[in-house]
Amino acid sequence: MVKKVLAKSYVYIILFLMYLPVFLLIVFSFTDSDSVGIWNGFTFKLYGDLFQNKELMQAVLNTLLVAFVSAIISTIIGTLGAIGAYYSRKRARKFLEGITQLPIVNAEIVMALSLAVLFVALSIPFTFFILVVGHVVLTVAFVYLSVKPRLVQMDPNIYEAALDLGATPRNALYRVVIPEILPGIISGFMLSLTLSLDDFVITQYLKEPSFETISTYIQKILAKHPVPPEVRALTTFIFLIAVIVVIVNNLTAKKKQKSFKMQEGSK
Amino acid sequence: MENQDYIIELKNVRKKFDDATDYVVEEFNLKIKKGEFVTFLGPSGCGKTTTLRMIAGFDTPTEGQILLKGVDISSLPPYKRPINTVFQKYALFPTMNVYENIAFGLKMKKVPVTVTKNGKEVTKMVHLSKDVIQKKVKKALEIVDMEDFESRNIQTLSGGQQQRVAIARAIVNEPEILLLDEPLGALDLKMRKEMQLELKAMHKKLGITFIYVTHDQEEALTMSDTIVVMSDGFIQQVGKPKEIYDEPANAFVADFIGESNIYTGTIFPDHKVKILNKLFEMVDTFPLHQKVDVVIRPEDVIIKEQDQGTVNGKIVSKIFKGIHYQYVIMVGKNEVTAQSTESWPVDSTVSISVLPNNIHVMKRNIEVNIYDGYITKNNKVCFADFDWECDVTTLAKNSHINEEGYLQTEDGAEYDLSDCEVKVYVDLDKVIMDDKVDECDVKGQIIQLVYKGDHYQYLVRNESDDFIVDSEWTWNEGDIVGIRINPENIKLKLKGDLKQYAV
Repeated sequence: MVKKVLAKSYVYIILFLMYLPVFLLIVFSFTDSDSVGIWNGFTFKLYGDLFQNKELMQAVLNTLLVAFVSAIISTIIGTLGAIGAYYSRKRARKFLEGITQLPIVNAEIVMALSLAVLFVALSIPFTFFILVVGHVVLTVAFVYLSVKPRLVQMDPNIYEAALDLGATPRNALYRVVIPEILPGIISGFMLSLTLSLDDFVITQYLKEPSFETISTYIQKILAKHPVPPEVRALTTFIFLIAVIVVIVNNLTAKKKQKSFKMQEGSK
Repeated sequence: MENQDYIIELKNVRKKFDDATDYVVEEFNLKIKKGEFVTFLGPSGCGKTTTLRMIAGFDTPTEGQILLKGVDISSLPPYKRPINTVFQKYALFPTMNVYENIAFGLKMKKVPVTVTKNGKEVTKMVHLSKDVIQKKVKKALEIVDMEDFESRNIQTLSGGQQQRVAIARAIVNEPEILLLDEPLGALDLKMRKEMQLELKAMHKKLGITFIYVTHDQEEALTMSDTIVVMSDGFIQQVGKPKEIYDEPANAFVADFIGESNIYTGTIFPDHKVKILNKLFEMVDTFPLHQKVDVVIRPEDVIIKEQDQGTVNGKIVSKIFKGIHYQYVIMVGKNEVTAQSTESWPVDSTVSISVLPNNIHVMKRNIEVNIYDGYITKNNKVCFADFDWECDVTTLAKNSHINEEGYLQTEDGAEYDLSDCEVKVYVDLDKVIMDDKVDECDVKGQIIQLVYKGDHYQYLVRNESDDFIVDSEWTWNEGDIVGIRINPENIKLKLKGDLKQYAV
C-alpha cells in the first residue's frame, strides 16, 4: 500500500515539477504586474496588450510563415528523397542514410554557423528565402527518417503490382506508394513544423536584421529590458494550442482504433 | 508465320544481376502455345521466378529476346504488356478495399473510341466508364466466388480470400497471359488442393494462357499441360506431366519429380545394363561400356520370393502408406526403394526384378571434373580461384623438379612451367568435402544433391567454379563445406607443347 502511494506520488511530483514553470506563467498571465511573483489582481489586460503589440504579432506571423513554408518544402524533399533512396542501389542507399543522420546528431550551432559563412562567402544577402533554406536543412532529415520506416514496412511487390496492372510509374507512385506511406509523411511534416516553430539558433544566424520570429524577438528585448508581460499571455496561448493539438491527436487515434475494431467485429 | 501459333517465345534468354558474376537464368529457350497451362518447376533459387519476372517485365533479360506473338517485348515496361501477375504474397493495395483493388487496372486502362468531330472521324483514347468498370469487377468477383466482399477492407480478409481477390484483380484486365508466382504457397494444405482445382477450372473457362511457378512437383503434375523443369538456371526438361514422370531426361529430374532409385551403371552387349552388380535388360540403345545413370521408380520394382528375380536383397524397412507398403531393400551396398501392395516381413531376403521398359537409362551429365588452370611460379596449379598442390612431374615422363624449380627431364632439358596453361581433371569421388570449413582454403556451397543408391552426388559451387562430388556422407542443400583434393588426384594435361616452355 505504502509502496503504491510512494510510486504514484513519485510520478506526480516529477510531472508537477515539469509543468510548474509553465503553470506559473499561465497564472501570472492573468495579472498585469511587470514581473512574475507579484499579484496585482485578476485581469485580461495582458491579452489585450498582446494583440496591441504590433512587433510581437508580426513575430508570431513570421514564425508561422517560416515554419509552414519550410515544413512543406522539407516534406516534399524528404519524402522524395526517402522514396528515391529506397529504390536505389544498396551502396547509394547506405551512403544517403549515413549523411541524413548527420544533421540530427550535429550541433545546431555548427549548422547555423556554416550556413551563414557559406552565404556570406557567396555574398548572398540574407532574405526570407535564405531563412527558409536554413530551416529546410534543419528539418529535412527528420522527414526522411519518419518516411523511411513506412517504406521499409511496405510490401515491395505493391509498386510492381501497380505497374503490372497498367499504371505508369508516376501513377503507381501517386496512387499506391504515397497513400501507403502517408502516415509517415504527415508525421514528418508535423515534426519539421514543430522543429521550425521553436528554432532559435539557425534563425538568429540567417535572418535579415529587421525580421523577427517569436524566439528572436524575445531574445532581442531580453537583452535590454525585462520580459514584457504580454509574453506571458503569448506562452499561455502557445501552450493552450499544444494541449489542443495533443487532445485532438489522441481522440482521432482512438476513433481509428474503434472503427478498425468494428470492422473486425463484423467479420 | 510460324510465330503465330505461339503466344510467347523466349529465345536464348540469359539473366545476370548487376553485381553478380553468375547467371541466374541461362540459355532459356521456350515456346508457349496460346491457352496452354505451363508450369515452371524447380527448387528455390533455380531461376524460375526470375524467368517469370522477365516475362512480366519487372526484370529485363541480360541477353536474348522475349517475343509476344512474334513481337520483341524484352524492353517493354510492365504497364505496356498485356500480361498480369498474381504475386506470391498477393501484393494487394492495403489502402484500398476489395472493389478498388480489382478496379485499379481497369481505371488505368484507356481504350480507343472513334468519335465524329467536325465531320471527321477521330480516334481518342478514353478511360472506361464507371458502369463498365462496375460490371467487369462484379463478374471477376463472381468468377472467384467473392460476390459479397466488394466493400471489405483488405486487412479483414483471410489468406484464401486475399488470394481470390488477387486472382480477380489480375483476370479482370483480360490479359493474354496470366502469371502466377507460387500463388498457393501461403495457404494450408486443404485450401491449396481446393484452389488447385479451382484454378484449373478457371483456366479452362477463361482460355487465357497460364504460366505458373511452383516448387511443388505434385502441384505441377496435377495442374499443368506442360512442365518446364528447371535447376540451377538451366531448363532440364520440357514435357507433358506424364512424359516428365515416365521419361525423366536426367538424374536431377528423376530425383526431383517423384521418388526414384538412381544408380550409376555400365552398358553391356545385347541391351543390358549393369547395376546393383547384375545385368538388367533395357530397351534403350547406348554405346557399349558407357557409364550411364539409371532411374527406376519405386512402383516399378517387382518383389519376388528369394532367387526368383534378378537380384537378391534384404528388406531393412517397411512403412505402411495407405494403398501400398514402401520397402527399403539393401542389395549389397545399394539401397532400393520399392512399393508393393503385398506384405513382406522385415529382415526377410527377397528377390527383385524390373521390366525392361521400366529401366530408364540416361546419359551421365558429367563423369569427371574438368577445369582450365595454369601452373604458378612455385609449381602449383591454379584453378577454382586457388593454388592447389599438385605433381607437375606427371607432365613429362621420368622428370623431376630441379633446384631452380624447373622441370627437368631425363635428357637434362629444363622447362619453366610458370603460367603454362593446363587442363585439370579430378575424378568425382576424389574431391573431399570437409566439415571443418575454416581449416580448408577452398569453400563451396552445396547447390544440388542426388542420391544414387549407395552414395550422394553433390554439386558444390564456390565463387568461380563448380565441383561435382561423389560422397557417401550426407550433407544438406545449402551447406557450406570445405573442399580438399589430394595432390595425387589432380591430373594435369598440357594445353600446348611442352617444348615451348624450354628454358
